[in-house]
Amino acid sequence: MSEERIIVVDHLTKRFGGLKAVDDVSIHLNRGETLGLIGANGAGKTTLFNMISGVLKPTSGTITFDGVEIQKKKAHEICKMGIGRTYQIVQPFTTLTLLENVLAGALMRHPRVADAREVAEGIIDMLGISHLKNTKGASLTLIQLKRMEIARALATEPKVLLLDEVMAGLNPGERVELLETMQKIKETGISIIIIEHIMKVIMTLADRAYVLNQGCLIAEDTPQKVMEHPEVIKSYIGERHYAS
Amino acid sequence: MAIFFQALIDGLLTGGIYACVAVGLSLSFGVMRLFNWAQGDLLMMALYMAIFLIQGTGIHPLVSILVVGPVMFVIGFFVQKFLLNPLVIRAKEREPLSVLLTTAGMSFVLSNLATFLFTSNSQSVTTPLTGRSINIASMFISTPKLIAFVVALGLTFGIQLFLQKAEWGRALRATSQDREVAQLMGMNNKLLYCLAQAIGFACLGVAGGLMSPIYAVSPSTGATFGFKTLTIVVLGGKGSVPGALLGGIIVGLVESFGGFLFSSLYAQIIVFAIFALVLFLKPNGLLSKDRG
Amino acid sequence: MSKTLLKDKIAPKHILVLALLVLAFLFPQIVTQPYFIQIAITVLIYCYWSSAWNIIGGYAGQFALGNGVYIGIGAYVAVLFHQEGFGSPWIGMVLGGVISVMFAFIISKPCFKLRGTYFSLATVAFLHIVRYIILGFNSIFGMETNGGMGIMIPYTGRWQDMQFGKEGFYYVILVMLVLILVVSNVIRTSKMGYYLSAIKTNQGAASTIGINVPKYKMMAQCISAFCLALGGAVYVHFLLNVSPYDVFGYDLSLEIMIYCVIGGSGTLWGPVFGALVLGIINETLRVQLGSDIAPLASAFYGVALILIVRFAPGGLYQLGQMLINKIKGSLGKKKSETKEVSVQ
Repeated sequence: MSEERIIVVDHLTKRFGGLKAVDDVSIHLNRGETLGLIGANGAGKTTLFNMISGVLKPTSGTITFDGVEIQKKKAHEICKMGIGRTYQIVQPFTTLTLLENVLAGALMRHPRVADAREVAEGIIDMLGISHLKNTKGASLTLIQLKRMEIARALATEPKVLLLDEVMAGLNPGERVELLETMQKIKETGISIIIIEHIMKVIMTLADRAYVLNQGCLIAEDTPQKVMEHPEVIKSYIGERHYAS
Repeated sequence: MAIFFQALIDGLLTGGIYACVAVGLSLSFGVMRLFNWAQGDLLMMALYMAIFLIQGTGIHPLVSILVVGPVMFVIGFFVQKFLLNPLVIRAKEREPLSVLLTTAGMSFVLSNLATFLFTSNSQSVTTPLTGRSINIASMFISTPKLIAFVVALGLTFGIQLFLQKAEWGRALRATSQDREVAQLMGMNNKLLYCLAQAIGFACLGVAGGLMSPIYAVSPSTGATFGFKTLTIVVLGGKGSVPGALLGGIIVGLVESFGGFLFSSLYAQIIVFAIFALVLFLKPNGLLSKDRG
Repeated sequence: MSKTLLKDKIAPKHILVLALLVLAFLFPQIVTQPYFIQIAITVLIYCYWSSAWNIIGGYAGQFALGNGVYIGIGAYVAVLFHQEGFGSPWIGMVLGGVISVMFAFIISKPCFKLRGTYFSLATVAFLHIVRYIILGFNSIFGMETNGGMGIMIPYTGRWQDMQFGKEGFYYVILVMLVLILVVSNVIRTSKMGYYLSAIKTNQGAASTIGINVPKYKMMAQCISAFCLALGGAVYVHFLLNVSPYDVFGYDLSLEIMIYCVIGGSGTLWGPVFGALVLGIINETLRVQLGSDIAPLASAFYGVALILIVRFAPGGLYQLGQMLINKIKGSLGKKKSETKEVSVQ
């Protein structure tokens, strides 16, 4: 049973001074599934991501990845083990080109620059951004940057991909494009956790969803059932987004 | 025993002057996140101004403050306006590298210009205040140092009041929290920054006037005071005016006791060591709640 | 796949570099006055030091303004090693490099925990601490250092004692410069180079793509410290004198940074460019206007730094590139114009 669960978060809490950003949260990710994480702003979703990827250390609780506890490990060690992520506010290496950004990601598993470049070009092709590969990070548009970040994370050949509000800031046309990209990635069999506000995305991609509110877990179910949950409806009144 | 008190008083009074010098850097670094590498060299410039003014016109050192202070105020305003503001506007980081480089460049320019114009010989001036002291219980309290201390206290008190009560002062403190948010709230950041830097420079001008009866100046004065000022700001916590006073007094006392117990060289090393320790253990100042 | 022709692999810039190299090696044979060779030696060592600083300051983006301290450590260790009879200063030089690396390791670990200005300040603090210690004591660990007066190195003229005569020093330092450029290029085009670029622009994101940020920062710093130390050891044997004012100067530390930034930090040739141009300007001014002019020239470099930071952050290198592109652009236009004419 535990081999089925690639990530297990157990009673995880993160306190910042007196504030509990994440409060006794227990969730799990099954191998090969796409998991949705929804909730209002400040619900603790990104903090959860930060703890899973090793950027933040939890106050208490454990995170197990592939059977190994990782909550005390450093971010780069966790990446080596197989977790890749993107950021809510994109974090490109602005002085490097798109290709070089992704190359930097590929170097972890392919230390020779020539090999890493090949791998990077393959991923860039798959995501449809080849034509931009020599553009400097600082000159790319938002949707291009988002794809680049996904490509860069994929270049580390992760078993688990954490996507943090990939759709934020995109217009409806761009969202459709990115949705197609994400379908393609899903098909590779990778396990994914998506943080998203836009319900259509969760409905389309996620097999299961958790709902967080003010740091606490308030619901867990399939996306459709979760939408009918009274707590979720309460916290989402006036905030429902449907991609056109 | 009397020597102990002598060293204590000396250190305390010198500390006041140091505080005056440090206040400007504290404001710049703490409130605007702009570290001014040229602080020490700007003090040197103010001191040269004061000394040459007194040499040339024979005015009383305290009167020189009334000239050098405002001149430095104006210089500071325009330095911020033309040199630093454009860099701050452009940069996305909180502490832009370009500011560090620009102020390091300023420091380089000032110290080299001084070497070129005035050679490495030191300049000093004899004033009605020089060498005067008050004699209390077999201890000598240097008069110019005492005056400097009082003025410095007044100045730091005044600036602290400005930051707490005055509308512009409070606006300044708000920008230190978050530059972007403050901009959204409609405050004229650029003007505020120019004002803050101008105040800092003016303090240096006042310090220059206060120091003219006591210290000699040479192109290396900048380097000497630069690091001292920095240590004070780090000790007291950047952005804290009372912290600058506390830091100044601590450094003044350490130098005084260090010099009298060991030698002035050891005292310098101790100051640097303290700086390093504070930087690593309590980077936000002695009074902060860091655990380091 | 067809074999790439040799001529396709060699770009015009490779030929330029080769030409420069040949010119550099022939320089002392063409220009034989010892005075010019002396100037060239000084310019070369600054090119070397600026390139060494570039590795931590330019590639990794960590502004270690106090790195000049390693120049001093390398110098003193090499000289003391020989003076106390432990062996040849060559071995002392290597030892100086090793000790510098150890020093860099110990100091940088806490320093790297600081960000931005604090990091730079911490490195400068250590420079000052070491300088004051050397200034303040006449002997260290029982070895005579003469405090501020420094140590005179007795002239022997033997290469075993690291003394070569002017031409010899020119070639030794030129070789060192070539070596450090090779090292820099290897770093730049390898995994380490990409990792340092990532660290320079975004440390947080770098760590989540598997980059061990502290390790790579430390590697860059240690390489820089080692190279700076070697330069220090060789240069003081050229001066035949080692003193804290020369090798532990805060000004020296600042200067190598300024040459690097003005030339174009983070590029391969930027530091060399900067040190070369400014060094030549320095000397020309000195010859024309006397050595008292030196501080005024330095003041101008400060102004240049301020202007470059504001208007051309990529330094002279960036300006040079823009110029070349403009020339290429206008040549291209001319070509297409002539083409049109001939077609008609």
